[in-house]
Amino acid sequence: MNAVLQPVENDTLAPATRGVGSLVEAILDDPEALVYFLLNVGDGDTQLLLLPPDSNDGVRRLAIIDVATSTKLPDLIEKLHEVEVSAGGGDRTLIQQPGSPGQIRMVVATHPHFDHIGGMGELLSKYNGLHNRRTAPTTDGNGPTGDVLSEADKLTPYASDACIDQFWEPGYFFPSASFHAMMAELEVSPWIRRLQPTSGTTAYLDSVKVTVMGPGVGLRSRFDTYGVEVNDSSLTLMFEYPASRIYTETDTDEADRLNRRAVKKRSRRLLLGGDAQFTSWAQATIDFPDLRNEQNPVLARELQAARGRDYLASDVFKMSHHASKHGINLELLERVDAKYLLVSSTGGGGRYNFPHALAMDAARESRQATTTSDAARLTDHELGIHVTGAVLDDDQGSPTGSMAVMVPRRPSRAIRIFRLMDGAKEMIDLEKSREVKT
Amino acid sequence: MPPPRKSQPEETSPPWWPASLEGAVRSAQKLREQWQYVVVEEVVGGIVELMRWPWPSADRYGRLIWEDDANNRVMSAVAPQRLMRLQLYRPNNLERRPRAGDTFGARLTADAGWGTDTPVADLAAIFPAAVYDISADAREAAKLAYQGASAAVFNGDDAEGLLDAARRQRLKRPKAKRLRVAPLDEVIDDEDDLA
Repeated sequence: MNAVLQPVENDTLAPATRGVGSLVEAILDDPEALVYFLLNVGDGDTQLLLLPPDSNDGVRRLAIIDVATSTKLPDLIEKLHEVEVSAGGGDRTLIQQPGSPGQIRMVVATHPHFDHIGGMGELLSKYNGLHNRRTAPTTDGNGPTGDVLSEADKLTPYASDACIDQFWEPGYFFPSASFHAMMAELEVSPWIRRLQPTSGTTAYLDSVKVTVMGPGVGLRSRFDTYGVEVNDSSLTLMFEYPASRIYTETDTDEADRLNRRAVKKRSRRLLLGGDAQFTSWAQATIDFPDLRNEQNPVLARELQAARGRDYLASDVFKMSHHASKHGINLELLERVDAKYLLVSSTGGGGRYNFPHALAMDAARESRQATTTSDAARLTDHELGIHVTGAVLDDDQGSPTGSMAVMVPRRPSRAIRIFRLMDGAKEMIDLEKSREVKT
Repeated sequence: MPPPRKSQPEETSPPWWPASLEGAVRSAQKLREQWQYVVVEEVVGGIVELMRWPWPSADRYGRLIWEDDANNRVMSAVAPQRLMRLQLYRPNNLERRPRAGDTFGARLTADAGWGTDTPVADLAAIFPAAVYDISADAREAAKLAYQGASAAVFNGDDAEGLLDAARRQRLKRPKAKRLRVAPLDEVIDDEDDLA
């Protein structure tokens, strides 16, 4: 544990519950919630979004952002599949069998560093291997061979029953083995829709809206010269849930007619910062003008009236680059103004000693300005700052580990955060989850 | 139609032999067994993280591939960026700062200096033998991997003229020089900045 982090006080976490664990209980209690997982993989990123039930078929699907290691995420997905849900008088599982058609709406490789794509080739291989058009069954009945394209595949390479629907990456090529492995898998998966988005690109995953905040076009068009630091090629993504608040109501004159009404309640936002550094964020502040401090106050007012909230404002911010001193600054943090700041890093040590004191101080100052007031600094728990590598203040220094953030659809319900108590090299045991007290 | 995926290099897959290393290594066996593929993975402040993988093979479709367990055999080393400039880049007229994506072919038969988070004090500890700058070839290979995975790869049987021009261009490229890791007692540290 580095000096920048204080151990997490045990009593700031609710005790683990018996049975399925407090996280699963909470998911079952609020079946409409979006759940964001930030896995403890040391200085690296592996993130999973358990999407809300799809409005078309009620199925929960997944979005994956970065895969640093090869086993932890697939293991979590298997465990989510084992969760039983009672709904409509019948039993089913929280998510479908891993590998089911269309199960993974999108996979994002934010940028081609090993600590973000080290497990990507294997993940693509694993879920592509489950694609029933990918492989032909062997004649001896021992299942797919894994290396022969089926006749159906040859006829319809864009068949839509693949497990992975879309793959996003910034379009920055990098000479590492992990990058080659990722590209080799994508080359033989023409059914996965590919996108190299830049800022402003928007996609809708049913009730969840995704907006790319970076890199800006100005950075993207400089990639080929290698004039852009790899970290600044990071796809930074804003997830917004619900994407809109449009509700139906029965027409007062005709009972079988519905009208649609827009409800003015703020959506919740998650800003996932990849490893973006100053150059990328600087570009983002140009692409997405500050609605409060824009130099043209008339324009700012008009934009604010049209947009509502500031473009960068979010409720939860996964801080860039494991809270290195180059990934973040106070101005950006103040603009994002997130109630919860999450950091994916070791609790100190490693080659870079992340999280860095400067970044953590900026995070704390953005949540509680003490420099001029001289007020006593609140604890990280009180400030809503959580680090995957932080440990408990118990005798063993137990890991607090991965995080799960529950984002409810209903505005009356609060965002809830759970710690999954796993070490960086341990698999997640959902039963051990403990809720962060608020 | 994409080529079928192979889970790992076939026994007969030749090692990748970039143009810049022609003449530098005598046999495919030595290249495979003794050489490592070293990439500047990340530069954070004044620290450079190097990652080394086993030497890649070239599959029958012209792609670089590593054995399935390559991720288990990857090792990293950390070096001050300043040391990289003073001991490796400047003495060999590499007129650039170390940057992510720079790639070296290095003969490494031992692990000394690798696998630790402590920055090395002398680059000779991690590059004790021959080391070549293969960045241009490695970047081209990455670009080919990226573009080949993103768009159609055409059959060259009816494009001999285009291919011939490309081959001639390739022959004109300078061969990689063996880099000299300057001994510390020869280094003149006249740089003011410590980054």
